[in-house]
This record gives sequence, C-alpha cells and structure tokens, in this order.
Amino acid sequence: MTELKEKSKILLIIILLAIASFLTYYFHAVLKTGIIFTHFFYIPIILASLWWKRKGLAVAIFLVALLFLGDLLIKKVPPSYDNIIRSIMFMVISIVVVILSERIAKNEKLLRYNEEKYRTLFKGSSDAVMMLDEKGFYDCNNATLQIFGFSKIEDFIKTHPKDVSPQNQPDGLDSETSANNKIMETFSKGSNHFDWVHRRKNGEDFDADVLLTAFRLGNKQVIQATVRDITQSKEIIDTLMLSNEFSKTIFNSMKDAFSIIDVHNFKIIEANDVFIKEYGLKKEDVIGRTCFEITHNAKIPCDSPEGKCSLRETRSTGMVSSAEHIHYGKNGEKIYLEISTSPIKDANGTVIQVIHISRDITQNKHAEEKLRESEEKFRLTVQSANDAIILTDSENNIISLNKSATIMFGYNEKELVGKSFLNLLPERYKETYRYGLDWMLSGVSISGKSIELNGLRKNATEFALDISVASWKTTSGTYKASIIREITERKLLEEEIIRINMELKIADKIKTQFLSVVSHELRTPITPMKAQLQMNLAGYFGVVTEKQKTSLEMILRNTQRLDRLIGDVLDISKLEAGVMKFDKDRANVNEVVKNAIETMRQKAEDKNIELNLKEEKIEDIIIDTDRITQVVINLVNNAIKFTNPGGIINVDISKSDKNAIVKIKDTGIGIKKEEQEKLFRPFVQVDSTYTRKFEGSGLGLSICKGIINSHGGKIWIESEPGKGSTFQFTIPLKYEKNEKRSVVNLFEKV
Amino acid sequence: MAKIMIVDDNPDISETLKTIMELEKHETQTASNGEEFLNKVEKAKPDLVLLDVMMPGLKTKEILVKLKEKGLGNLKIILVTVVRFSDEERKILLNEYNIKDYVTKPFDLPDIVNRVRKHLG
Repeated sequence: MTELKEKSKILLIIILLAIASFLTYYFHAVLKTGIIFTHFFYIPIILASLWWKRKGLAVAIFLVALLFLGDLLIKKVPPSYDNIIRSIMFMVISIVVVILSERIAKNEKLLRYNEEKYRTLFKGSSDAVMMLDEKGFYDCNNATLQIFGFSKIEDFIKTHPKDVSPQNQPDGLDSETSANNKIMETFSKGSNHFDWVHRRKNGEDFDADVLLTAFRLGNKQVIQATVRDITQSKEIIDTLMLSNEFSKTIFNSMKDAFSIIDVHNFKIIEANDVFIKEYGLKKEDVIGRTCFEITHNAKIPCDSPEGKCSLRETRSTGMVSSAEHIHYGKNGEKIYLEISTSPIKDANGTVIQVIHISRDITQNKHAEEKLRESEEKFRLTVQSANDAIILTDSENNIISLNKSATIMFGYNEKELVGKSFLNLLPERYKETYRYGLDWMLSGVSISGKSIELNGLRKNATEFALDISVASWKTTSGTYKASIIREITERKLLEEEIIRINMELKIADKIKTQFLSVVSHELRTPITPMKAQLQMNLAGYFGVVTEKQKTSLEMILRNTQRLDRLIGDVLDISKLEAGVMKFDKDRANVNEVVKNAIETMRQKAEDKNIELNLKEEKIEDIIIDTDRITQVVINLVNNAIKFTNPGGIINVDISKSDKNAIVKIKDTGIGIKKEEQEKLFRPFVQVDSTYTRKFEGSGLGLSICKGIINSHGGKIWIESEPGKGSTFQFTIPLKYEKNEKRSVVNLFEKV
Repeated sequence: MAKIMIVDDNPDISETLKTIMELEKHETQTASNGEEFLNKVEKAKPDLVLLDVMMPGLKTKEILVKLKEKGLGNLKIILVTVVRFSDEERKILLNEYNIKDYVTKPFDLPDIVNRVRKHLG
C-alpha cells in the first residue's frame, strides 16, 4: 500500500513539476507576462518537503533553478530581483516545512515508539492488565485472556467484572454489587488493592490479587486493573502460616522442655510450656532470666558437680552437646535430666544462642535404681541357691552361673562363662537335652517341666541330674535360665524301690506257688478219702450196715472238716501274704447276699431258727462274688451256731451314700466286750469251750475281715452278752483299687 | 457207655475215678502224666478226658497246646483240679482248649457223676 502511496506521491510531484516547467515556459516564452503562476510552485515544494523532508529540498531547488532558467534561457536576462526573492521564499518555506515536518515526524516517531513500548508492556505483561470503565472492560492484554481462559480479546471486552466472578464472594456479598462498589471506591480513592475470587471461562474459581488504578483519559474516567492469580501464593502463605502454627504447637506440645538461651549472658530468650511448668512459673517470669537462676536457684552458672554444662560446651565447640544434669524443681526436688544443646550461629559462624532441650529422666532414674535393687536381690538368690542356676544365651553359651553350679560341675566360674552349656553334658545326652528343651519350652516360657539327664563333671565323672528351664525374650535375644539339681540320691532310691518291688513280686510269686503246691498236696490225699467214703456210703461196694453207715459218715464228716480247715488255712495264708487273688466284677449285692443266705436256709430250719431278710435295693458294685458269698455264709453260719433253737436271725441289706451295708443280727448268746476285740484275729475263739462245741476253725472271722478289708470295707461286731450280736460289714459303693499288700496279720500280738 | 481217659499222677485218685467211671459203665484208660497221656490219646480216642492239673512234667497248658497240635482240640476235657478259676479264665479255657467243665478236688461223688453224664449225654 505504502509503496503505491509512495509511487503516487512521486508521480504527483513529477506531474506538478512538469506543470511548473510547462507553466514557466508558457508564461515566459508564450505569454511573456507576470509570474503569478509561481505561487503554484509552493504546492510541490510544500508537499515534497512535507513528504520527503530534506530530500524534498531538491524540489525547491529544482523550481528555483526553473525560475532562474526561465529568466536566463527564455528571457535571456539575469534572474530578476523578484525571482531571487521568490527563490529565497521557496527555500525558506521548504526548509521551514522540512524542519517542521521533521519535528512532527520525530514526535510522531517518539509517540509511536512510546505507544509501541506501552503496547508491548501492556500486551506482554504476565500480569493480567485490563482497562475498564463504568460499563465494563474495554481493553485487555494476553495475560488477561490466559488468566480468564478467553481466546479472543473481542470476547473478553464484552464482559463486566461480575461475568468473570462467581455469584458471591467469600464474604457473602454478591459479586456484581461488590465489584461496582470497588470501582466506585477506586474513582474516589484513586486506587484500590484487594483480594477477589474470579471465575475463569471454564467455571474454575481462583483467588486473585486485584489492583485498580483510576485514570483520566481526556474527560473520561477509566480504570486500569491488574489481576494476579494468587492461588499458589495463597497456598504457600497458608502452608507457611500453618507451618508456623505447627512449629508453635510442636514447640509447646513436646514433652521435652525447650528453651533458647543466650550463650553470653545465659538469659532465656524463649521457652516452651513444658520448660515453664517444670519450675512452676509463668512465661513472663522465665523469659529474660538466666537459666541457672531458674533451674538451679543459683546466682552463678552451674559447675561440674551436677554434671557438665552442655551450654558452655556447645558455645566453645559449636557442636551439639549432651549431658546428664540435675536441676531443681519448684519445691527444690531433684530433677534428673538428659540435656542436649544445639548451637544457633550468626553469619560468621559464632555461636550466639543455643537450643536447650531437656528430657526428664527422674522416673527412669528411679526405675534404674529399682532395677538395680531387684538385680541385686536376684543375684543373691541365685548365688545362694542350692540348685545350680545357669544362664545361657540363645546359642546355649553360658552367660553366668551361681556358686552351686561351680561346685556341682567342679569348674570355676571363669572356665565356664562364654563356653557352651552342652560341654556339661555327656555326648550321648546332648540330643536328649535338645529334644527336652523343645518339650519344656514349647509354647510357654515357664512350664514347670523338667527332664532327667546325666551331667558331666570336670573330672569326667557322670552324675544324674534334673534340669528345669525357663526362657524369656528381650530385644537383645532369647535367654534361658536352667535350674539343675543333682538327683543321684533320688535315682539310687528310685532304683532301690524298683529293685525292692521286683523282689517283692518274686517273693509273692514264690509264696503263691508255695501255697498252690501246699493246697494241691494237702487236698490230694483227701480226694480219694472223700470219694471212697462216698462210694461206700452210696453202696457201690455192697450193702452197708447201719453201724457201718454211722462210722463211715463220721469219717466223711471229719474228712470234710479237714478239707475246710485246709481251705481256711490256705485262705488266711494268702491273705497274710497278700497274694489272695480276687475276681472282682460288677455284681448285684442283694443277689449275692440272698443267694448266700439261701444256702444256709436248710441249716437254720434244721435248728428251728427263723432266717429273715430285709433289703434296700443297692446298685451294682464291684465285688468278688464268691468271696463275699463266703463272708455272708460264714457270718450266717456263726449266727446259727451261736443262736439257740427258736431264735431269729435277721439279715439287713442297706446303704449309706458311700457304702453298701450288710447286717446279720442274731438273738444268740452275745459276746463280752473284752472278747469282741479278739474275734477277728486268727485262731482265736471266744472261749475254748466253744471250740469243741461249735467246731469252728478259728479262722473264719479273720478271713472275713481280710476279704472285706480287701474290698476297702469294714467289718465289726456290736454285741452284748444275752442280747445277741450284730455282725456288720460295709463295702464302698465306689470301687477303689486297694494297694494294701497284707490285710491280715497272723502274728499280731494279742 | 463211653471211653473215658483219666489223667492223674496220684494212683489213688486215678484208681478212685476209674472205679467211679466203671460203675457208670464206661470204658476207662489211665495215664499218670502229660507225656503218657499224649502218647496214648491218639490211639485211645476217648470221648471224654478227666485231666488233672499240677502234675509233674509237662504243664497242663503245654499238654493242651500239644493236644491242639495233634488236631485233637475237639476232645472233651474236664479238668480235675484244686484250683478255682475265675469266670474269665473259664471262658478262655472253654474257648481255647475245649475245657468243658472243671471239678475241684476233693470232688463230691454225685457232683462229678452228674457232670460227666451231662457232658457225655
């Protein structure tokens, strides 16, 4: 465009110059009149000077030349005075115009330059800068577009601040009203700086820092607004404020006492609540006072007796220092502290203040003392114990042992500490020990279980021992305490007992065998005796006369008596030797007793004695049926023996909560008190006169006693002479294995 | 009328039992110890054996085992013995060795006669 413009300008000047030239010629040569037409020359001169400034002077010069040439060439005279004046006028005008236009151009350039500069600034500013009037935005830069998320200026400048803000501001006021207020304020105050919440085109809200400046543009009031997105900085500020709060909170909530102390005058610059509370003071009483005043109630800084002053150490070394220290509390009580001081240095690296942190370890100190005390106690207990106590670590290495241990194994302490515990065991027991450890410690740390092993003394002798192990875990590992007792004596005793038991068993066997043989031998002759007598009486060998019958019956009777005697002697022998075999099984007591009674019924009838039974149902219990039958028969037999014809025998079966009770009451002659004691003894009959009369063996009751005692029961008599006797025995309902070996003593002193 | 074998080391008892059995009209054979019994038993083929316990020589148990070995486990046996057996023991004797019964010495005449009749009949 400008090229075209330039070209047309040049063309115009050329045309004008051509016209000027023509006119000059025409007027000079043709018309030969006045030179009024020279006024026409001003047009190209002014234009050229205007357009081309100094170069435009060339046109003026050309036209001056034209004038002179007109005179010289056409009129053929020297340039006239008028023409010279005109020429000068031409030049002057031209120069003036040049100067003017140059100045104008300069100003224009400057103006454009400034404009450009401002435009660039405006456009390129990273801050969003926009112009607005009462109606709204009318101009903005790129940053504004970016910040609000618009793509074109045209879109933005249609808006009012409310359009780029949410409905309401955080303070609750609606944005439109608030924005207009801000604008009005700006007009009156000149500027306004405030926080605002804007909304981007995409609906995203952001915190903004807004600066409004009022301008007068001509007669118009406008505002330049700078909007800065401060979301990030706000976050940072918030974080910082939070962190500040945080630090303050930490400072105050730490359990340790914090203080900042000036190293030169020992004055406390800052202290946290813990520190202040420790001395029962208020903050204002602490700040500015010296640390030794507060903590030691002293006039001078504390010295070595209470521990080194770590403040001074930090001051001199510039490093963190720590120490144990004693301060005095509000009541003068000792406070044990762990103190650490860190340096605060100035720009030159000199320590000017320290951060003084102290932790109250008074409790720890007490705990330490208590621990030491209990350790002592433990040590003494361990040392004085008769049993060997050996402490081992997780690798079974001996950590410590007591005196008894050294004596037991024949080593001295030094020889064993650090060595493996297994050295104290013979090789073949090591596996047993390991296995036993597992068993003892499985699941529990103290089980109370122990294992028996042999130990190995220094002199290579072995001895029997009993080990019990307890273990416990600490942070430094698992430890075991073994308590060891020498059980040689016990072992010998055990072996003795086993040996004795075996001997007894053998003895029993011998006795039993003996008794079997005796039984066999004694009964063998009686067998054919009895059988032959019976055969004779049965008439196997011919008719038997009355006298023969009587004789044979007598022999038979005595043979049978002999048999019974042998039986009794064998029974009592077995009972005395404790080798009587019982065949105990669950049986019904009522049945057993009843059956036994029935076998005696004939005998009772024969003597005209009433035999009655009263019974209470008893549950089945474990008894030797045959032997209990033997007892009942024996007692009933006795009752019949000692009761006169016409008498009554009452048998009573009853039970208590623990026992079955059988009573056999007769209306017989009764037994004197002194005699009652002897009754159950072997071979004792109440009165020697009875022996002949009543044909007892003298063993019956002692056998009964033996049998009943073997059942865990009791047998006794209640009797008064002339009032009959009641024999009773009890058998426990609950079966208990009877370990008593001998239930009858044949050789008991009378 | 049956074949009865009597095994007892005491001649008087042996004789007495023999008498009793013969009076019962049975055929009898005797042996005075286990070995003799085992030698004679196969040939004798008794219907019932009256066997004593506690004889010298072979123990009764051994005799019974050997009897089984000979395949004569079915032989009816009545033990004549001074020993009393428990119910358990009786059961075992019956099941293992076919001991049908036992009689204690000194035996009762009617009792032994009845038992023999019972087990033969």
